Amino acid sequence: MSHLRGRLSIRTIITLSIASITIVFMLSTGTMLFNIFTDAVTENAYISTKEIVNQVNLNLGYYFSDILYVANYVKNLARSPNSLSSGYLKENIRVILDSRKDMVSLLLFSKLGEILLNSSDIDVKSAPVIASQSWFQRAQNAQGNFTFNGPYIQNIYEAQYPWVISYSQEIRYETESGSESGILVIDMNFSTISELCRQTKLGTSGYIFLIDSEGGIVYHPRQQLINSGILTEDLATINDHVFGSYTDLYQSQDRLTIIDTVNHSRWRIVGIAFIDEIIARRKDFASLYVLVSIIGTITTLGVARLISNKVSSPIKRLDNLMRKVEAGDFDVVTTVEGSREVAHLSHTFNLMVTRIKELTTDIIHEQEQKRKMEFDALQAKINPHFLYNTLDSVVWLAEQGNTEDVVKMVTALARLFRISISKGREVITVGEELEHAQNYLYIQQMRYKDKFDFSITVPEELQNCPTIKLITQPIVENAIYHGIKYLQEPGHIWISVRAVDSSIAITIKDNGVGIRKDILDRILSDEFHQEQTNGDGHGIGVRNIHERIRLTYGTGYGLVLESELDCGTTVTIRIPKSAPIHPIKGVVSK
Amino acid sequence: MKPQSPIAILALACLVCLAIGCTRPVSIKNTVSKTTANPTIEIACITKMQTGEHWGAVKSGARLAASEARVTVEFYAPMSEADFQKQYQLFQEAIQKKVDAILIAASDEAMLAPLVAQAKAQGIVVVSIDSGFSNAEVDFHISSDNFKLGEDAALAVLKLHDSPIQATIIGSLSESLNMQERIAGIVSVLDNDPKSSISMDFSSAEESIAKEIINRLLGPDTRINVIFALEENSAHGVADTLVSKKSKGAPVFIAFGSSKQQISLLEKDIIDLLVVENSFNMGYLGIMKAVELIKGGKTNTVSLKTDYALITKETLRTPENQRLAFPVY
Repeated sequence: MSHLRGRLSIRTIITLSIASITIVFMLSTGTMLFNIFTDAVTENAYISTKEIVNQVNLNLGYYFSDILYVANYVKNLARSPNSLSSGYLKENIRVILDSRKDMVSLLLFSKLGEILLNSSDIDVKSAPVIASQSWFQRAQNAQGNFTFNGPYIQNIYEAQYPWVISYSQEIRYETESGSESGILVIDMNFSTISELCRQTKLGTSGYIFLIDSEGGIVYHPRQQLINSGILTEDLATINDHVFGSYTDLYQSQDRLTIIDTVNHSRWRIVGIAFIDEIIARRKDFASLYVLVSIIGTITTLGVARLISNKVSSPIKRLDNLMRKVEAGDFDVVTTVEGSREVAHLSHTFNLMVTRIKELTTDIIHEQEQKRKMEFDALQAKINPHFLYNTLDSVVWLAEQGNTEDVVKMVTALARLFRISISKGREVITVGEELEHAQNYLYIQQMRYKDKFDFSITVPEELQNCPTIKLITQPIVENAIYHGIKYLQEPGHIWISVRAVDSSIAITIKDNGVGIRKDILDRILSDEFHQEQTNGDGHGIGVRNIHERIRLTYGTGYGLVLESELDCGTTVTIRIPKSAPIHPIKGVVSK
Repeated sequence: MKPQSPIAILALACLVCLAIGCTRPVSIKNTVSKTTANPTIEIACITKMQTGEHWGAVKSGARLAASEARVTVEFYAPMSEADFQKQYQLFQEAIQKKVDAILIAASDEAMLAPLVAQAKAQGIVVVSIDSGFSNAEVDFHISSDNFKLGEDAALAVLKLHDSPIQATIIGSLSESLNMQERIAGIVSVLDNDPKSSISMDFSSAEESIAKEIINRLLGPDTRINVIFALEENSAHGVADTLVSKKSKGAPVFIAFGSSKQQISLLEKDIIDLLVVENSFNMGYLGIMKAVELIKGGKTNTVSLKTDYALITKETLRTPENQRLAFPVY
């Protein structure tokens, strides 16, 4: 079977091929879909994030354009004569400020920093303080253009510290004495901008911050952390981009940075989104994909296994049956069902086994016949030999004139042959069998001139039990020729019959020379039988008897030999005990 | 094996896939919702008292950190800093509630020290902020370098006033470690001049008490020429008296804190120097450290110093000082 080792079973081959094809197909399709999906998700996420930043930027733009609108309104009002001194201007700006929470104050200063118009009733700080501030100086130097300043802490009113962004511009206003120029400052609440930016979340923790034209941070939702250096922004890279977007890895986080300029100001808005968050769905999809792949793989393997089982199990069963046949059991009958091919195979297998069985039975029968013929031949072979010797003895007795012994001997011979023939029957009674042995012994005793004597004991109840014929005489013959013949002193042969359990034991015991141990061990084996029959042709060997008994009655019966050198040999014939039969008519025990 | 079993299994697999396909979007929604992201982490923040801009900034920092880290923070404090028994009680209650971490600004550090040990024994992370412990091992400590704060303030005084210096220090509670450290810092500098003398008093962070103390000290023949107010309420009390007395040769006034009132007083020249701490960061970093430690993070250090600045009227409006003194939350 070594040539079969290392080969895959049909089941494994089918399982592997189905599973691998399906899994490869499933995974490649899945991966393709996954890539398409994630690309779409990523693109959408980028677009929507940019839109959010854009929206905030638009709002910031509106915020600044609102200021410009208010400023223009005030400028126009100031140009109308006496609007300042009459209080008309002040009334109007009060209305604007009351309606707008994001506007902290609107003031007009002279070019020396003296207060001309105050939207509030609270006193302003002294002229030098005002004139020293950056928004004032920048407006003075801007030649009539507007400037945005801040954010910073307003420094106009006492004990008020709001964060503001200042719009400042040098404007002209009309007085009774003519046109003068002053500095207009509109302070906007910075919290409006910071709220707008703070409330905008990109993903879950992405945020928006503002930088000025110098690249300094104007607003950051985590300003305190920036101040303390706990948090840093990659300002160098951001300043390299005027506007646009890029992704990079900053502090071990993949970030999407979106930069745009804010209308009407020199600020830029920067949106930071964490890619992990904005495409969080991709992660969900990835885990779903992995889950489905695992389930799909397991299911595929299961289904492949089922299919391969289905296909291979009848083959496997046929294989098992074939192994039984291989071991010699021809009684197997397949009931293997399955596909058409398998059913046909199964049917053919049955035919084949039946045929083999028939052939084998024929062969066995032939062999048995052959062996029987062999026995018959052997039996036929002794008879003339024995007959010649006996007749020789009869002639010798007759020459002596010993008529009485002649009559005895011829009578014994006649009985011997009558039982031998026994009307062609194979089975005779134990009594007849032993009588046969007795007649043989009697003739031999006469021939050998009282070299030995013998005794036969048969219990009455076993007399008529059946046995195959001519099994005792050959043993007795052996006992005489191989045991007693070489003795100096008189020999003795004891034959006894007894019932042992459900069998009958016929014991032939002699006090001959015994058998050597090595021969005794081999005496029932094949080779010994061969040697003996090929040799002097003497033996209807014990083995033949043994074989005959076993062939007739089964392996539980046969011969048992015990022997001790110089003490004798005991042969026990064991046959089954069966119901008594009638002896052959005309044979009467003496 | 029955012939229909593979079909049954295929059908089952299809059903499973279908079920997954239908249920998954719900779970996507769940992962996006942020309020329940860390529902188990609960942190108690116990400050010295309920009011005051300093504590307001601390809480703002803590809140930002809580929203970023998605944890729940509950704030506890007695009405008055003088009521430190109440703080002890609040600490005990926090332990009983089995919170995950406690942020503590200890008023009476000796009294609270056993509770720190008890909390840590129960596996609660203890982070001290603002004021620490001399005899208890907290998991982490975040505050300004209070000794250096005192030292720097005293060094600034030496530039503002000639020797000999007759200083009085008004703190909140003598049991607070940050007060002790600030005083030690001031004393370490002023003691170098043998002619200088230092007295100290404690106001329990009550304006009225501070006012009384300073009224008593600034009698007609007072020789006190430098006043240190170590926290905002004491400073407010002292300033009240100084504004009303506003006489020739008013003492140099150094105040710790950054309340609007203090800044206004700085602008009015009542306060000569403000020592401004980054209170916001104490709260923010306190929560962040606590979350990190709850999640099993290892830290190489056991303390962190937050930044501070010495601000005069002239330097008030520099961009850096504006951001520190007028925090935007």
